[in-house]
Amino acid sequence: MEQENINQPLDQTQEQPVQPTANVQEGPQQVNPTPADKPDNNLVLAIVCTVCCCLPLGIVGIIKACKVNTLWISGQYEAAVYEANEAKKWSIWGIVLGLVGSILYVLIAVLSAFASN
Amino acid sequence: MSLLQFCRHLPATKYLVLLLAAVAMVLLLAFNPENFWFWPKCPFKLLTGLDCPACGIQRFAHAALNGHFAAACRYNYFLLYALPYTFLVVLAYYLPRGRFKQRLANVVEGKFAVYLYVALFSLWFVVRNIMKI
Repeated sequence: MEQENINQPLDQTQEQPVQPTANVQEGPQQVNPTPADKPDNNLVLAIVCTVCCCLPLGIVGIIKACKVNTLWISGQYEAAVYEANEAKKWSIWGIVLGLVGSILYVLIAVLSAFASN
Repeated sequence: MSLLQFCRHLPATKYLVLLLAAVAMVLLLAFNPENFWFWPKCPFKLLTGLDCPACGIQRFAHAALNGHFAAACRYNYFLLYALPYTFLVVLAYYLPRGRFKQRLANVVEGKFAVYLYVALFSLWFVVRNIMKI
């Protein structure tokens, strides 16, 4: 056990200088995104979802959509895109669930009306 | 950018959404949701028996579109705040790029506005189910 503990810090110190140089080389190649590239935060979808009665998923969507702009401004572009996609996913699931639920309800209502006749 | 140019550059999906909203409004104006079976029912209410924060939106729209505004408010007071806010969010989404869109979006999509909406939404959900309003 003691031998392993002594060896590990040595390995890390050897590896560490390599990583920053690799990052610096990749840095300039990435084109800095302009404000126009900012992803749509899908807040519209999320709010429509809450107003159309699928509340838990819509609230998740709203909170995720709210993070997009601040993440983008702070330079975390990938995280911003990720949250935007998450917001879209949750809101669309909410809207789909709401629609499917109401269609099922109408179907059941029609069927039961037929059955009682 | 003129209005005509703006309309020309609006993508088809945005037109489709506007069209659907217009159709829904006309249907809500003409057919009272309380009397016709084909209006969608809230799946949340069917499952849990609770009124969700937006429950009453169809009756609200029917009454408001027919000019009975006070009666509309009685169906759901929260919509007095939620619908204008939704309208502003949608407006910020539809506006062409520019300073006005940016300023509106900064307010409407800002942390304060969003968390206020979430907080009031949750509060209204609890209050309306306790007080049966």
